[in-house]
Amino acid sequence: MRQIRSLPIRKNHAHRRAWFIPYLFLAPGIVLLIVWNYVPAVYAIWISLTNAAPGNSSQFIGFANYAHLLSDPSFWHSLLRSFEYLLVVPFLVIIPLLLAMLLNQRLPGVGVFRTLYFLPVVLSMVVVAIVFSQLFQTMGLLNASLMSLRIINQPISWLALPSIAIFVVMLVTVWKGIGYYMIVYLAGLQTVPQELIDSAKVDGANMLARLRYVLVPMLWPFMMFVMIMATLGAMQVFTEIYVLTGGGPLQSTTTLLFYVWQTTFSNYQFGYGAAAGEVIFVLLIAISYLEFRLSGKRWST
Amino acid sequence: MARSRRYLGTVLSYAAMTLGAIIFVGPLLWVISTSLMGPDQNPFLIPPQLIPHPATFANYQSVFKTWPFGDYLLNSLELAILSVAGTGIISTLTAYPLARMDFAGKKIVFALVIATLVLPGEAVLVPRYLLVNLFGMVNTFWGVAVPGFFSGFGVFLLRQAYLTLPRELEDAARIDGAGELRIFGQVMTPLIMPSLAALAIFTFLGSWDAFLWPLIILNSQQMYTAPLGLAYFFGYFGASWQLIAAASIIVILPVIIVFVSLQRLFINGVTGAVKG
Repeated sequence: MRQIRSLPIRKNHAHRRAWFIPYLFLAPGIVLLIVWNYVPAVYAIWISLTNAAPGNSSQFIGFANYAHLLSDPSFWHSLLRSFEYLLVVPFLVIIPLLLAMLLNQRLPGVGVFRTLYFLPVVLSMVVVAIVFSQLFQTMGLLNASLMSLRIINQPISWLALPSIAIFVVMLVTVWKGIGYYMIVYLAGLQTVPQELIDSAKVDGANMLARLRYVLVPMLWPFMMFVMIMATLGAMQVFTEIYVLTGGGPLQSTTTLLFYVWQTTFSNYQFGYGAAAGEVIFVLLIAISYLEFRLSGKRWST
Repeated sequence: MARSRRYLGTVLSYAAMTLGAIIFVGPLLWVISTSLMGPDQNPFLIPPQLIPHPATFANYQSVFKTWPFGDYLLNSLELAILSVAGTGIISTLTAYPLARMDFAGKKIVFALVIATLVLPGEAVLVPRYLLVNLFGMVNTFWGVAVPGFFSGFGVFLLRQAYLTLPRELEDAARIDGAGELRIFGQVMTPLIMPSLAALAIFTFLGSWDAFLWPLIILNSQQMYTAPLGLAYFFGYFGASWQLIAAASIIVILPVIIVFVSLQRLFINGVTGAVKG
């Protein structure tokens, strides 16, 4: 018998393309990335060492801006407010998790609730802040309700009290943020095998035990993601403050970013603002780094 | 026993879900109701009315007649279109080689991209503004949009999508004689449309909602976007709450319509960002 000679199979050579093609694709994006992200990061350091202001030819003044920052009580005050603002983080880590568990049940109509809970996320922050200002203003809906329920006799000026105003602003941040993180957790819950939950149930684990021993370990990476995003978000809060309090009363809601904005774009001290901006920059890097270390998980691709 | 316990669990679940719905949707309903009130009706009545009696659309008319609110909306739209187009183009072009090609320096490029995810623009507000000024783009939509064209999130999202496409597809197109540009534009990119759409929606939403950066860059009133115009009239004119409520509804209506009709894409966008 004659053997049939098989046709020579051409080896699947790796495709050769001109070496520059990837770079052609990348060029526009990389140029923008460098011009608008990395150049500013370096440029900021230079500006912070000058007395730049509109109309003046900026002069190098060494570390004078930083020295000024250290002795500026308003700066320290705003830094403290920014840290205080991190109080929103635990709420944004825990409440969305509980809601996700609630909405992860196979119940009719659950999808509608998911939609409703996500709704605040897509609303404009300016609108949300205005609505809450009307809820919390002295003659607002909250005081009217509390008074009609006879919980209080006198209206409370929530937004005019330095000890309270910042909590109202935080409430707005939390209210608008919950839905987003809830969706993150719902995606996380999809990765938890139902059998695991069921077998825990069979073993008699109640809701808390299931949360502690099954869900939290499984969802840990998602909780870390939420924590990092919520922390970074908390350091960048602006619109809520601008609309609700304008940084007041008595600077009680002036966070670091708000302070940077004020010094730069209301007082036009560019150099000084840039120096304060550097503090935000360093803080954001430090926080991300710490939390990545804490989470024990690197960016996987 | 077990059955009645499960029944109780279900009832409690619905009770909790309904309470949540009131908390998240209640304020919105109140705004809608307020926007339909005349100037002599009290929006702070307890209990609040779902539909005021009598209801009127007069506030919606005044928003456009007494304020240049139509202009603000058009400005917002123009800015959003610019942002969506820019981010979409830049993200596809950058993500594609990162996912589908090997080249020297790939790791460095990827690291530079990823670093932007944790370093938001707010940290470099001042130098960015000075650069915009340097390029003469203060008080232009380009000045607002261009610094955001490169989006670490967008590149990341689309790269994940490109990675999932099978190698054979590319090879088959190549055997058919398609060049790199055609493989990119006509074979691969159409297949990542769901992710691209998610990115478009997120960018649109981000642009529509943007406040701080437009506030810094746009300094003349006729350039104001809807959120800036709204904050301006709320803060400086102290317009009536009924009027502000109507304007608020107008600002959020387009977004709500987009959201409700394209909900799945939203969710994919959020989860796509996490799964990366």
